[in-house]
Amino acid sequence: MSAPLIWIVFPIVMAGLMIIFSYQRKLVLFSGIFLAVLLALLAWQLKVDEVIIVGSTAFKIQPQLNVAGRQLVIADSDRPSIMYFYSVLLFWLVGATTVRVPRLFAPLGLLIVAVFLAALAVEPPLFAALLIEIAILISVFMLVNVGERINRGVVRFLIYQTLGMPLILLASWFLGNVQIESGALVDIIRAAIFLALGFAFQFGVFPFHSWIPMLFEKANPFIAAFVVSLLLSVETQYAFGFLHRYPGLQEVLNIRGILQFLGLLMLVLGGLWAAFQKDLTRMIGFTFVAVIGHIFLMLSLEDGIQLFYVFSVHRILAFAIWAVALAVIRTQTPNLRFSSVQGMARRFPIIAGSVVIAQFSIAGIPLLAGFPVLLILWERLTLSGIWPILLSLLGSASLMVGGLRTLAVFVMGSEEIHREGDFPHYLLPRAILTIGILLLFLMGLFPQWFLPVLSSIPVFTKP
Amino acid sequence: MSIAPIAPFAVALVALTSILLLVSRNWRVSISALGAQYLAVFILIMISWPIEYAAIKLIAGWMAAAVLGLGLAEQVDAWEDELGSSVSGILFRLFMAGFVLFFAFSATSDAARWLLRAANLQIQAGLILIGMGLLHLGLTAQPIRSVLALMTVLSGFEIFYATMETALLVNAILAAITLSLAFTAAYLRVAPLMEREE
Repeated sequence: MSAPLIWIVFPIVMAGLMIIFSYQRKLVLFSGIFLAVLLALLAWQLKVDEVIIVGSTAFKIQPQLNVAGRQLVIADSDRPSIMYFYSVLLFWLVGATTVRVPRLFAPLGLLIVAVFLAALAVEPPLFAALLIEIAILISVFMLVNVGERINRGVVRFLIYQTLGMPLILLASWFLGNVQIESGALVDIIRAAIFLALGFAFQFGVFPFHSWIPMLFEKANPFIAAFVVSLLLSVETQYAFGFLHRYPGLQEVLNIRGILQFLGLLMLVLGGLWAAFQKDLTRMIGFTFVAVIGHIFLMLSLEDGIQLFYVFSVHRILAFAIWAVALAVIRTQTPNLRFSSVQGMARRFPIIAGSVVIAQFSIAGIPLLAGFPVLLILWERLTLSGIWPILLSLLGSASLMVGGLRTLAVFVMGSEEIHREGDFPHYLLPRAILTIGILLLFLMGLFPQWFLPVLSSIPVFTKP
Repeated sequence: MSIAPIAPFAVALVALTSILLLVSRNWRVSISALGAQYLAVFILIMISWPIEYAAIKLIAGWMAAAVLGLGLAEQVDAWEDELGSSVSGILFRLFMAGFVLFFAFSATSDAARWLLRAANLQIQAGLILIGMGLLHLGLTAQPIRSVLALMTVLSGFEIFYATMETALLVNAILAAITLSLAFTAAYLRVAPLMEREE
């Protein structure tokens, strides 16, 4: 038995079975939850490449699996990362019990996570770009609203992600064939340009960011948040893998400086755009743009990938809460424009409050989960001078303004409004959102419980 | 068998089919052009690869064209709407296509400096396909036309990549991606016609 068989092949087979039985919507969703829990628990407990004794039987889980002459490798140190990905899936599948999602959401979600893990585990890493593209093509089937006009955000998402793939493949080939130490500067710059363009398309770096708000505006925001959150996690690790494998890139081109510049640009622009939106779907979209800025800033630090993991857990939780709450509100309104959601806080205080608290947490308001992580980031940015820290604070302040505007819209409105007590079928979303909000406060109030554990997650990158 | 004598015709076929994809109002013509485009790509890839490997691209491309054709046959109206009946739109596209051709032929010698293993004809065809695909992407808002344009870009890239990477698995996955793109496009076509989930 091998680790890739357990965490990649088995989920893919199970996803196939779940697709066959997808007409049993609840059965499939709860099977997905069970599998996500099982795979996360196995990642926690099952040691790779060590003898495991169960009763009178001893066995060893091999780290690699050969597929068509290539290898999928999951080392023991990758287990926390696997646990992270299946926990993200679990977050969203639990959320899916409270909102309306397509019946293929659970199987395709499981399939996407397994393919993403295959992308991170494959040797040589050249194949990762291809596997990520396959996962993206699968995700399109989730993002399309059946029976409705195809939204341009999905098409643009497909276009940008697909255009990024060949550029990254070309860059991989050039980097693999250029001796960085030999000082072939032109070759290195050419490879770096391909790489930068490829990742710019895939991350949605300004000016290629337009697919993000469009995707959230037209697709189901819950599913869009799932796909984009996962994609960011995988692509960040993949991008970090490049920096890790080709340290010469940093020496020759000061990649970390470029990442810091792009991070600040994305954070400030995303924050300002989010602050002035009048549609909650576009606001969450632009907040994602700002969060990509945070991720770039973390990657620009020497040990930023550890900070990224800590940030990711908070980010995933906050966006899951935000997306569930939006999906619930969406069932009560024709759209999520400010004019349609006025007075929501009086009608659904917990659900509306969840949106605002999630926004504040991502902005880095004290007492919430985002604050301790961003505090570390700000502290580290001060080493680079005054402007990075000021611009980073401007981005966070803009996100906070967006949250305040949402709050103002949620509490306004003059007519008599019934409270959510009149809607008992919202009990489950309320319960889940309440737990989520408590977790956000808990992580903000007692960061010492979470930061050491999360920052010890090793990087899922091959040497 | 030497492929050199027919390679220039393949480049001409690439140029012709990519222009047809850009201006055609008839979906049958477009799908046929796509099929012919993959034939040209197959011929050009054969310069670097043995025929049995290059055939993967041809088979995947033709299957993709067939899948797209099935998707298009479901609903043809929207395909024709975009270009309208005005001649000026088609003339503009032809004019822009001329620019792309001009760029592709003039940039060949520069590109040859970093695509060391590629023949000039492969570089020309690759640049034409990538340029025409990007132009098409910029001019269309239709999902299925966008996917056609993406497939054109990818075909150009695959000609370049075949001269660099000889690993069969990479190219097989690329072929699978071409096919998956066609399935995705067909789904984008039929999804609006499907019954909403309750």
